[in-house]
Amino acid sequence: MNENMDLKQIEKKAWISYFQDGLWDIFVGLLLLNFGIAPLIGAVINSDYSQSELSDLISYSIILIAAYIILYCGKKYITAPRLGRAKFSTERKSKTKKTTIVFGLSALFGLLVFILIATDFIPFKNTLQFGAIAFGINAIIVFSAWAYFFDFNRLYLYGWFFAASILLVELSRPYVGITYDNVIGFGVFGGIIVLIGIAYLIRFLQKYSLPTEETYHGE
Amino acid sequence: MGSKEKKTNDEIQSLTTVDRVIHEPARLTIMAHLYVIESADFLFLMQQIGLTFGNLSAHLSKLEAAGYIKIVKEFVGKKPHTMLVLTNKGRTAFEAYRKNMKEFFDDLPP
Repeated sequence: MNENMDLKQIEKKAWISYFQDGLWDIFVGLLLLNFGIAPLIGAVINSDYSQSELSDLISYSIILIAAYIILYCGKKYITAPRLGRAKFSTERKSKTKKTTIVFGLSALFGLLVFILIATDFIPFKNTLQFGAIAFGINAIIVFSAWAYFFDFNRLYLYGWFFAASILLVELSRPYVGITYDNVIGFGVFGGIIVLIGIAYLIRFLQKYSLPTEETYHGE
Repeated sequence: MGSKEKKTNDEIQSLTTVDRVIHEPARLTIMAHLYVIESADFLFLMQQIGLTFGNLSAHLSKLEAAGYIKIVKEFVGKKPHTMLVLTNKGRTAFEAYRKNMKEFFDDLPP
């Protein structure tokens, strides 16, 4: 009757419940959308080409900060009051640390590719260039590692979406030019991920209503 | 009494001495969750296990009375928060319960 209780499945189900609110999906989607929207905003803000990189950087930062704020506030004011709080074991914490290491290495890799392209060590051409391929492969690896350590399976798909967005950028560039190719490429897949997140969020809100005050404190 | 009959009687005897505090399905589920999670609050357990407020509260009281769980009050911001943790006694009792049940079912003839 009880001997087959799978404790790992219980722990995994408890852990995964934190990802059913769609907030991480919205965050990842906004990260991808950021690559499409930020250059457009930068171009609108500043038509002076010599300052365009600065305005791009400012736009990237603003949207990135906004994405973090949405994630943080969502978890604090939407998820935690409905789902409650739990502290997971050291094994789960070590998986989280491994994910952080993977992100760190990925960021270093991305920075390295950026420097190599900026210094023209790797030539930047209008065909499918090395930087785009590296970005795509990096995204697949990072998201797959994140999905594996976090037991968050949708991230496997999102890694491929990141890579596919690069391909769409390259395919659309001859037709819409630079800037709008990013809007299309990153916008399509970023938008899809955000919509998936919103769908999960709506389902989460329907499933978990706000508890009464006594339930929340267990008194 | 043959050896097989004696063995079966021994197994049934061991089952009657099983820890009845843990041996209730809802309490067993609570113990299992707290065994794999470091700590959880009342709401989290309620959402995971699917018990009502009153039902969960009653089972937690029994587990606390047996010394298997303890209630830790902490603050999240300015709001008081109640976290539930499995005690060492509770952890040992749960492991013993699992071992007993596993031995019982492993020894059963196919």
